[in-house]
Amino acid sequence: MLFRKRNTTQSEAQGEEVKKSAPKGNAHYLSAKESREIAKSNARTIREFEKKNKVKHVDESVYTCEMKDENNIVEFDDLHTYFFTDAGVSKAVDGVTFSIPKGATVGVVGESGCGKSVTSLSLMRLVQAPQGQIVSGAIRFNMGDKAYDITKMPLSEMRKIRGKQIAMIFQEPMTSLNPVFRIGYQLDEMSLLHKKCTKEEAKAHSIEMLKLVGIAAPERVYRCYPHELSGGMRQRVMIAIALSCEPRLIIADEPTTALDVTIQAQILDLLKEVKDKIDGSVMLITHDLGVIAEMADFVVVMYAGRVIETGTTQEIFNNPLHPYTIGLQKSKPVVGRKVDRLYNIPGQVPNPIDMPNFCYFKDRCDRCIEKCNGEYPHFIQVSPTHRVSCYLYEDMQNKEGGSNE
Amino acid sequence: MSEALLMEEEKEALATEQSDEIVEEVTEEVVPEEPLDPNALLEVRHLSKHFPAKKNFFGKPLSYLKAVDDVSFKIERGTTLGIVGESGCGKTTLGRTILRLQPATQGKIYFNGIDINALKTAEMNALRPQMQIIFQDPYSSLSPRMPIGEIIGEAVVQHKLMPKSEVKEYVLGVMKSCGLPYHYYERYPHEFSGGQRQRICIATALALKPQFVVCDEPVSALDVSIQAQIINLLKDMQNKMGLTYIFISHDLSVVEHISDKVGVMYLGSMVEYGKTSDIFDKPMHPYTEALFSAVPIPDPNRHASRIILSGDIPSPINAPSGCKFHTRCNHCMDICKEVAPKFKDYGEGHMVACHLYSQD
Repeated sequence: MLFRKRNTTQSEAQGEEVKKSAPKGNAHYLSAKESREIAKSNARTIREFEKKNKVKHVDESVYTCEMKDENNIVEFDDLHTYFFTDAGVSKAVDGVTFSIPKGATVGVVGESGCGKSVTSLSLMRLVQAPQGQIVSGAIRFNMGDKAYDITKMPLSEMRKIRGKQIAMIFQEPMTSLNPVFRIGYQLDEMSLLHKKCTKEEAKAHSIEMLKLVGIAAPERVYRCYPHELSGGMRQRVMIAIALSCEPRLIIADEPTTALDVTIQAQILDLLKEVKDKIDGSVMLITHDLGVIAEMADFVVVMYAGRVIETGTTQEIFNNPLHPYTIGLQKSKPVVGRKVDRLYNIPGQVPNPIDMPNFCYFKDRCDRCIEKCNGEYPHFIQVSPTHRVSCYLYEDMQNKEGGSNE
Repeated sequence: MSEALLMEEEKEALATEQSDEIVEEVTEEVVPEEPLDPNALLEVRHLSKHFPAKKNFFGKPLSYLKAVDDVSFKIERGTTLGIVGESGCGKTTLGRTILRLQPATQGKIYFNGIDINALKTAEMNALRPQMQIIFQDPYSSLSPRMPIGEIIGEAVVQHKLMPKSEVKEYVLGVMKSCGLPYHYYERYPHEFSGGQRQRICIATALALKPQFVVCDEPVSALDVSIQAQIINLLKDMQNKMGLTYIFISHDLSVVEHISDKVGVMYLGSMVEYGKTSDIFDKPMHPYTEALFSAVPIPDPNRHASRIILSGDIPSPINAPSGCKFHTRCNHCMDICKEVAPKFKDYGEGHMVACHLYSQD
């Protein structure tokens, strides 16, 4: 989705500007020879990574690590996930650092193609291989008594964590449920795999889970196929599957985007409720600022593969600092707030294959200063919880702030 | 989502084939003729569109899916009517039926005082340049084999709006007004991003100098920052060309921003219709109330008390008797289960179909 648009010109509809910046031909033209060379070098890099991934027995000490803060459930530390495509290396996630505290809901917002989903897939180690690879960085996951670095774990160990410790709710429930198996089978699978119980116990547990997510006739739904259910019901089933092993972390990747507003309200309420019941954390990925404001305790704003601002929900909504965050909030009409003309952020996201070396937002920013031509801005700690990556706020930096990225 | 869409389209295509039969099936109701409003560009009276859902062995339909059921409204020149509702409530079918992209089962559509359902195909084709549509998905509504200059100019040539030698000049002018630089003329759709494709779709529709445009979820497939660009473009073009829009969307905040009047649909019927400010400030129908309270507000300090509707939208094939909303309504009374409420005016053109208000 990110890397297919090699031919797209950079800026949209800026009239004269476009004529100057983009040459008349295709700006991102690659000759067959160049493309072959890229493919060759990619194949080499990918082979190295795959070799590392295929190692079956890794000593536990290799991937055991220590959390920076014991109260966090997950810490992303300078994570880089790249896609090696024939058109070049697409840096889908390019140095993401943030953490998810225990029992909290962290909302990740951004436009499509900004790396929200790839971040969550990296955490599950489900990035499309072989072209997609975690290149560097660490994802520390708190298992309670110990902590593991997920990027270094062998896949066989990872399988024990997936579903049991970290569960995922996907955007489109129809495509993530298997159409040829009954709901019951797909639910039982979780308990049978992770809990070593008998089939009867698994069934009892599954029906209990269906009840928990507010399905009125759990016995009937247990025997249904996915196509017999409506969108909202399917999403409930997905949530039931995700919850059935009582995970420490639930990743909800656009859980309500495919649903109607009234059903969305039901599902959001349900998510809030079950999160408290199992006492887990939620990583909520969405592009809807309304959903974030309602659900999240902390917000992470991403743009073009990088985190540009993080803070508590109050901070991000009441005092947004990064020009992109401000623009994003102004460009969405809000029910009950009347404006004559919507603010629009000019242009569009830069091509992920050749990112500029200055701030990625510079070309679209209306508050650009001279310093923006320099290297990509570091994080500036505005308050203990609020960080922003923008040169405009350099004088607001605290003494200990400014993590190197 | 795209799969579901595809299925819907297939269903519709299938239904259009058999629609001739339906027209014969339904007996015409005698409606007392009211004079037409001279200010209204489009007036829709008791419009219905039924698709055959189940057929017997010989292909005779046994039951119908009532996608649009007895809908009436009018749009004044140069204004925007927003249509909101959940998926499957018949918004898109309504838009397509108004343009006669599929024949109506029942009811009348007056465009500039002409009943378009009574027109012959050739007459209708002559009228087509005045009524255009912008589709939801800009990825599937542009032919991948044609450069965009040709796409935009195709209909202009087809309708012989100008001599062929002037078409290119004219298309470049339209492209410029829609924010597309001139050197895009010979590029192909795959070279563009979603926002630019939607601009191309808008340029295609506006190249014919229409009076009336149906915008069928034009911004749903786009990102927030691109959405704002497209909405602003649509508004600019309206001011410049005096366009009349029907804006179909499930995004209430966008509809509130762009519309002068709003119609709320539920299971094929219009349940509430009125000025945008009236509908958003004091919604009368319980469904409208619940729908509006369900919209998440991007403000962590404002936690609106939310009315949560239980259950899902019922199947439109055997819709509930009486008021269609009674299965999910919090104010349901006995009468609601038996008698369908009438769509009545409760002051200043605020029309509601609900028994709560008809009693007093």
